[in-house]
Amino acid sequence: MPLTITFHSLSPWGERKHRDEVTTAASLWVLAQRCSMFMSIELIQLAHGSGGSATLRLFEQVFLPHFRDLGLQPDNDAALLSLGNDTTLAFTIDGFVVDPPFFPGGDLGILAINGTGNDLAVMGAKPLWMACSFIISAGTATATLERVVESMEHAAKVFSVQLVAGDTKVVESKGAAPQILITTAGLGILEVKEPWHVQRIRPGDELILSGTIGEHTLAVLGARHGWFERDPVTSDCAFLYPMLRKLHSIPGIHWARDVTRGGLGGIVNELAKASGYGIELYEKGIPISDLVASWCEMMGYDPLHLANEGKVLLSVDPEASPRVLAALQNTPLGKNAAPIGHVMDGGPPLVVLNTAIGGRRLVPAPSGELFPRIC
Amino acid sequence: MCLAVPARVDTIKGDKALVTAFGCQEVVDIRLLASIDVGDFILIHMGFALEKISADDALFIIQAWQGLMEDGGEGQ
Amino acid sequence: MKDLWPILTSYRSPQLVHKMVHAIETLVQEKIEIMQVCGTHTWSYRRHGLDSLLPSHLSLLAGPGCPVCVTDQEDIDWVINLAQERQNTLVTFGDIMRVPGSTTSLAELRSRGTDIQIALSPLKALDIALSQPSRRVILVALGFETTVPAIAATLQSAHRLGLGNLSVALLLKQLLPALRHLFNSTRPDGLLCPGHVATITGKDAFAFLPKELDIPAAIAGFEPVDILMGLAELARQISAGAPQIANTYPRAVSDQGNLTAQSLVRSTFAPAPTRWRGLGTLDGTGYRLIGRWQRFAVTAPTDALTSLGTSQCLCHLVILGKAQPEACLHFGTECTPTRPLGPCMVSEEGTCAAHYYFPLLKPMGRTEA
Repeated sequence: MPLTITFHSLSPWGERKHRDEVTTAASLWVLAQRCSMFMSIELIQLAHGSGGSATLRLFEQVFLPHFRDLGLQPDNDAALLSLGNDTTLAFTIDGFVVDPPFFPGGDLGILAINGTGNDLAVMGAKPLWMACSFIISAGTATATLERVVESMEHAAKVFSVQLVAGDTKVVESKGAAPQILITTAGLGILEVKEPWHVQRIRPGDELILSGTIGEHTLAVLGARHGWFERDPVTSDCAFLYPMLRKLHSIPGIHWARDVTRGGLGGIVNELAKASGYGIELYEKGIPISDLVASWCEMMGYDPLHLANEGKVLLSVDPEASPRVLAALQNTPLGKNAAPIGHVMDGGPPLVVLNTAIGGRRLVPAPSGELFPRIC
Repeated sequence: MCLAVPARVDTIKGDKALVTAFGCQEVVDIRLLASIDVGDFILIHMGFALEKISADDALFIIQAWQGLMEDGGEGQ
Repeated sequence: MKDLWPILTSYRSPQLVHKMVHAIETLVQEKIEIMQVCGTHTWSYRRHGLDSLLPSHLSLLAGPGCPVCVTDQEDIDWVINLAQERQNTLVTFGDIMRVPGSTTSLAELRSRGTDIQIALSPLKALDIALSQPSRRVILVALGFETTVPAIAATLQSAHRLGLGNLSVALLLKQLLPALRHLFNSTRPDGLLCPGHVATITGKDAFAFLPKELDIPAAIAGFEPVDILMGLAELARQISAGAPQIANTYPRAVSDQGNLTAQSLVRSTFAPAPTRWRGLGTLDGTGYRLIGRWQRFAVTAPTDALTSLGTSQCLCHLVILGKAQPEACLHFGTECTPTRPLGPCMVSEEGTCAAHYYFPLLKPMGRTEA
């Protein structure tokens, strides 16, 4: 027998042999909480922008303590501001930087309009006005900037969004490749009677995903590194409002979120954390294209960790679920919509995946920049 | 270690072959194989064909297990 | 020629998985500990949730099977130093990016603008060297027997192209001789052998395990059913008390292995001592370039670099299968995949990362998919 140090005596988790699964999961969660308290951030790294646990830590350590008492509504993609009469505004802001600025299926300009528009649309609001700020590093080709701006114009016109204010700054590029950073703030008007809000999530809610996962990350990585030349993946980059508008009249929709950075795994973990309930997913139910599934096999990626730019996850009352599903499947963006899991009764607020072969495992929040696993 | 995936050889040109792996096309280097034909299944690792895959062996072992299961019955 | 795809699908069949788990349950009556030495085994086992299906008295230990995890701290620092030299472009595989060196990591350097390229194939280094003749392009060659032929073939191409600005930092390792060293101090009940190492070396190269060391051994592939076949075979050997070398991955592994690849390796490299994290410097477990290929070697500094940081974690024991990741006080707290203290947390194949990403979770009551 090998000399095995088990963690009976050492582990902060308690005794392995006697713990039950719920306790295990709970202690893991507690550990994750403790870990965010312990670790200080000395230097901002790319991982802090990836939408995973590093981003969360940055938010909790640096921003939350200072902004908490200023009316911040941290659990939703957009803040809801009631005007006192019958009108409620949805208000949000988002920054966009992507390397390279052009990739199959989209570009930086389209992302800047869609991303902010989607953050409003998932609240049940109609995106109406936007303001944009450009931070451009010196050395950027004017032609590049023009292409990006043209895309923004096109996207804004197609989706009837007005671009009502803007600002431009130029900064030194300091040796790194020049790039463009666009920040767009968006204002919209709430169109649903009851806002889609994380606090409305109930145990037993069904989770519905509007389509296949993983295209956006693979499209951008492919364009960045020159991978997948033969069979490039096209980004799913899309404006979600036309699809979500079809759901406005259906009661029983509790919450919606666009499944962007951090991927499905990241968003569902956030959902678990914000709602306080455990989440159960079914691998077989999660829509994924053959192309994305194939590249994930070849790169050693978990598709649950890949970002999307045109997918929405909804938490709905099980009675409303068939109507929501049918309405989504009737739209071009939602034709692959599928139920992928449900909200469990009680905690711990973790995500369990039932794998296609009949096993079960926890789905962790992604934790940083994605690197291919090859050797 | 050693992520390697199966692929089917579509065309061969010199040291390179165009292959389809899980429906994706890729060009791989075939210098590590003594012989290779269009239609062969190969294992690819880091842009190289590592070895040919025997579909017969793949089928045989899985059928053997399936057979064993059925003979053995469910109740054991 | 049979079409392989439908056959491969059956290697993920839930029905077959269910039946095989049942077979393993009947075979494994007592507590057994099986070691595997391949990160892709770790990854696949966790990703498919196999651990939630198998009997709890069958435990799977991870040995030194992830090339990033076994790379010594001094070698990591060496590569990081190479990246920091201004004239160098480093070409590397993704896995090593996040490994913490004494002062920084490649990922951190890259986010500050250092010229580090992530490649899916070593051949990418040739393109980079050709298109940027003024840069000194250094390929970080990392991997086991599976990867060594690809590096040799890349050097052959570099020679043919007359590239003068390409070099390799050799961190390649030989797993098979290292296993002999490992089993001097630790002895699992059985070894799940790495299928893709065996693809190159052949089944016979693993025969010393049962013959000389009396350890049951099964070469296994990486699909869920492949892993279960390997485990079932080991359970059978253990209960029969008759160690053998079994090949449960015959579709990719022959008795002799890939002879073309082996001869290419022999004409390019000779065995050399190399240092392993947790095992120290071991004779004949690394490679050095020979003959005309020597000009491609990046010479390591004559005085060994002194690494500032010493290992703060149990990685050196985890690699040997002597400690489970959860035994480490830093696991999941100070050490996470975003900010790893040790290499086992870095690569997704690393034992600690696999344990972090896919924690054990036995069924909380069965639910139907």
